[in-house]
Amino acid sequence: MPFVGVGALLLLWALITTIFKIPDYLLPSPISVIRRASLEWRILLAQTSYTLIEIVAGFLGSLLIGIPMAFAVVLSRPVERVVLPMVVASQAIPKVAIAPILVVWLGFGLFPKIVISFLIGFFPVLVSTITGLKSVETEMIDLVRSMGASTTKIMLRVRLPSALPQIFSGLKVAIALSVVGAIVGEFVGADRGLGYLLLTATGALDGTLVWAALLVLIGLGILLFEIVAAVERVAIRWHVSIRANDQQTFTS
Amino acid sequence: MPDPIISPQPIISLQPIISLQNVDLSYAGRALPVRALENVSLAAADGEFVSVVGPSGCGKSTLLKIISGLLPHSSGTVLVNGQPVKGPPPSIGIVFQSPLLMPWRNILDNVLVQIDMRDLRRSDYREKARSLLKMVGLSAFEGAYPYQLSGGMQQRVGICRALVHSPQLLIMDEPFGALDAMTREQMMIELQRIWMDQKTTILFITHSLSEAIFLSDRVLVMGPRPGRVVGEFTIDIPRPRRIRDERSPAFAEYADRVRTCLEASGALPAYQEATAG
Repeated sequence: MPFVGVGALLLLWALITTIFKIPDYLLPSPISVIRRASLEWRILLAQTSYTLIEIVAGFLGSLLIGIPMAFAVVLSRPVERVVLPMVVASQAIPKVAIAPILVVWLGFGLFPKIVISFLIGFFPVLVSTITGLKSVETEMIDLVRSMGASTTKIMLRVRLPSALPQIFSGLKVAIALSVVGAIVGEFVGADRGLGYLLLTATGALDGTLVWAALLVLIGLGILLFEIVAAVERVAIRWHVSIRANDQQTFTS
Repeated sequence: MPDPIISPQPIISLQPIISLQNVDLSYAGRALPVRALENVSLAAADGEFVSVVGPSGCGKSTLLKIISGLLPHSSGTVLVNGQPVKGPPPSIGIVFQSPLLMPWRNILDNVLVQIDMRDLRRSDYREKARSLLKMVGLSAFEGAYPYQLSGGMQQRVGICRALVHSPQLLIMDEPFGALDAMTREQMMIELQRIWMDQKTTILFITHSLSEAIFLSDRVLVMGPRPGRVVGEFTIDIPRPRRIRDERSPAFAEYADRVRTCLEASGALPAYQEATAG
């Protein structure tokens, strides 16, 4: 389904380039882009695999650090007072601006790209997880406390499951931003990856290759987003956002 | 069924399940300390159905939190089953106005929340959970999810959850407040049946006089801030009571006396109470 809209857009694109006879270095027709992509698939695949590793590692980093950090913020007032403002301040710095510094610090390998991807992706995970963990009715907490549940138990068996819808919306934003982060990292200093390919092809005015790389990047973004959305559908099938189409109700 | 109550001697029938003596609660307000409860004393015997009625903000829910160990009191003694309350007592079940079901758990698992939170073994209580669901007519819905059930059905699940560990005390805080008039009458009948069947002590908090009189052995009336007990009425109407008994002279007489007591305490005017019932 997500590919239907993209298909329609490709069709419109093909029409525009043929009707207005736009030269390839400005905007090549999708047909020549796809032809180019099929010719260069080895290069594209190799570059994609580097970028994919950066994106996935950055995303996993935001998940594995963002969620536990949200737990710490919710559980401890000092952490909330001290750490949260620092995190917010760090988000005020444009990542593009510090990307060169990170390359200087961390070298030209995969690591600085993963770090940039993580830095962009983890904030939405943190913020939405905090909101989710905090949005449990006080009566629900009273109820489980009256059953003798410990703070840990309330956290893991009440707050965490009820936060899942918000956590997943944070993760969906994060996966989209992780793609941006990886490309930004590659723009600043890289010798491989889709961002590097985009940069060199643009320098060579190789329009069809630029657009071939872009198409792959778009496809990758959609695919990764859909994977997260699919996990979400399984994990929170009870939530109103997922079951909107299946409103069967029993009454007595 | 394991008995989680640790009691130094066998419980004699005279020992009250709940006993509050001169309980005060005040907390720091913006300028002056606020007195939420003042010199509250009450008791409920084993198997007794006691209601607490009073206007909004009279401290009914505060009282519930103190008895269930969720809120510390300032002075006085609070005993549940003879033991001073320092935290949630092991043998209570609570039903709130909202069913508070967990949307990610199916109906049977929602009943078993009580067991999971108490670190008890699920396998010991699954049959009890099933028989409670059967008692409230929800056997067919064990595997359903809360959103698939109506408000009345959800509240019944909440009652099963409060009873699954066989508590000696069931505390209900306006459990039918969010239900429509017909469902509420149905639930009143059902609760009476459950209580007669389970023989659990029930402390029922409500602002509805008719609910209180219909269900209770004894009705306690609380006056507005600071919350205090201003009246006590023993309801001597034979059981099982029927909804149509509400039109009987005896019922009307009780309602009249409770209402007079509420008015004397400076609670809501009588005409507003009439619509609440």
